[in-house]
Amino acid sequence: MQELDKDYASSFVKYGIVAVIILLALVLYLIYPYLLALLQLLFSNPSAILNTTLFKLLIFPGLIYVSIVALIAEWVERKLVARIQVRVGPFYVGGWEGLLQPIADLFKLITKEIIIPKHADKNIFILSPVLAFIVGALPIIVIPYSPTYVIWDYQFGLLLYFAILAFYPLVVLLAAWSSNNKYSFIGGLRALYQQASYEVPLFLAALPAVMLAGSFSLTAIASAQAKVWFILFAPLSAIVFFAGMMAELERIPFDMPEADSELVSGWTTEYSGIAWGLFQFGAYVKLLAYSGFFVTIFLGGWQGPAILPPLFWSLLKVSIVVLILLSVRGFFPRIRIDQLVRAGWGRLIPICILNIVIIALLQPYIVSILR
Amino acid sequence: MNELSVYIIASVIFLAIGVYGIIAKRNAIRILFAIEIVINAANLNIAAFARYGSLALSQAQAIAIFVIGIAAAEAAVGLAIIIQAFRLRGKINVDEMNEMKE
Amino acid sequence: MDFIVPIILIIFSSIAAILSLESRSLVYGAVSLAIFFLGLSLFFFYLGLTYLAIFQVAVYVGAIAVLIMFTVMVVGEGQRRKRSVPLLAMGLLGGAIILASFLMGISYFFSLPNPSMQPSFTLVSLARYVMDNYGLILFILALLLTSAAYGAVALARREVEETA
Repeated sequence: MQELDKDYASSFVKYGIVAVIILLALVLYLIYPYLLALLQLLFSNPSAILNTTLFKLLIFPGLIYVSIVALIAEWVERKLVARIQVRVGPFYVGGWEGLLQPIADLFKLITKEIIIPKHADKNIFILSPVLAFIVGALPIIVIPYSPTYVIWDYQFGLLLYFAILAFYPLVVLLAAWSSNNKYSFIGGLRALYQQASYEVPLFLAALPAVMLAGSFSLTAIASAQAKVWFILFAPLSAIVFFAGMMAELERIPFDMPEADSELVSGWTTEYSGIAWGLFQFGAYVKLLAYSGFFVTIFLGGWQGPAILPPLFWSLLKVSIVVLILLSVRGFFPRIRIDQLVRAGWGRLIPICILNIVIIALLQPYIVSILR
Repeated sequence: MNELSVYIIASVIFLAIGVYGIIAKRNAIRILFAIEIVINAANLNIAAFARYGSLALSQAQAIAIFVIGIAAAEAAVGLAIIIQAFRLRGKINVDEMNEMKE
Repeated sequence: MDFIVPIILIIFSSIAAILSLESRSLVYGAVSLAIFFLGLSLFFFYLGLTYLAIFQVAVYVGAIAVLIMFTVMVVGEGQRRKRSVPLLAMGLLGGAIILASFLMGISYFFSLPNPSMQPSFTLVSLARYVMDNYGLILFILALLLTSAAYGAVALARREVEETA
């Protein structure tokens, strides 16, 4: 049996390499003109490459930037929460204070076996981590880090964010059901209740910003905060948005679906190896995306004193929001599921509506301040 | 064959698929799938007339939003009925649910 | 061949619709119904109704597809029954009658004049239009949705047995 596996593996590798080479050749042949234009641009005017959509999509503020920041955020979270809890956190791997710990975790997860439960639905089981990562990372295409650094300045950017937000409970349900495990299905249902209950407060909390800016486009909302940030006019909505963000990201104190002491790992219990790694990675990417939205809607996006470039201000604000989100984990206990749902429907929605009514009454005055 | 007729043919194809599903399926949930397909076919028709006919964009989107809202309400109530019927009778086969008393 | 995009979308959406009705497992049916809704949303994008496309994704895929999938997972798969040929034949006949009767009258649409220039569309104009003409209906729709949600919850909850 061992020889059979070795022959199969070696022939698979050979055919695999040939197939990958052919595929790469085909892709290169198809995108050759664009690649040529890109290289010409690079050699003639190097700094203009920073404005091409491909650069924005892949490197900054796209895929590679988000991945690196997600890894850094994981390290920062573990160290921060450890210090809050009077312990040290990772300190072994890497030169100083365990800096390379996330990369070590990544290698460990990649080399682990993905165990698929016996009667689980294989297609959906493999599909759901990928879908979770895609749906979590998709909102980054509309977040503006500065007037030029936005991948797609969509006219209805905020609406796109809401639509993608509404996708996530579907992914959770698929992941939980395909594990063929009663308890992870219960965890998945709890996650569904939580995320569906906090969608409506999130929608309502983002409305005052739209009312004051007059458009759903995120660059317009950020540009309208040139004089005053919207958090001063809608503090209640900002608090509700923050709470809703924490509930959508399933962070503590809204940790119920992943209650470590009760449901092992919630709806991701049966996932091991890189499948689970994709869920966690997608959670950090989602964290970055949602913090970007909070900064754009309430904290003014890239607005700041003109001494430093606007990119610096937006990155600073996003980092501060991410730090606050990560550190809340160490401070609060977990909220029970019924308290959670009752808070989402019964307490946060009236607060949002109160703030909308206030903004609606004061809108002409506020808009004259903002102009 | 102008552009409008392509979308009308699309809408009619979805309508035919939906009607086939309503007639030929015995599982109540499949029938609900078919009903949703039919409603979406109607929405596509309205959207096509907004683009290539004489319906204003605002008007068409307003109509379509109301249709989607009503479809959501009907799907919710229909699914609640299916859950309760399943709980009481143990199966959701519309051929066999033809008596008020179990 | 300038209708290539609508035709690709039609093929994609109808495959998804047929799969949602004919797939063996109900969960795959629900997933392909969600894909059908996404295909419809792409239709709306291509037709230029961007707000409607996002609204469709947010409401249909985000809420209705989740609700359907939740019900499918709770109710479970039904028993496999033998395919009944008379029912299938009646269904195909019904679909064919609908298709034929509409396609017979489609020559009317060939003779419609070209549409005039559309006024510029912004979200503000849509909001103003809805509130001016359909304000009361919007309010009634909100009441309808609330009562539908309440009714669905009341229908689906377990009756608490009163033990004396």
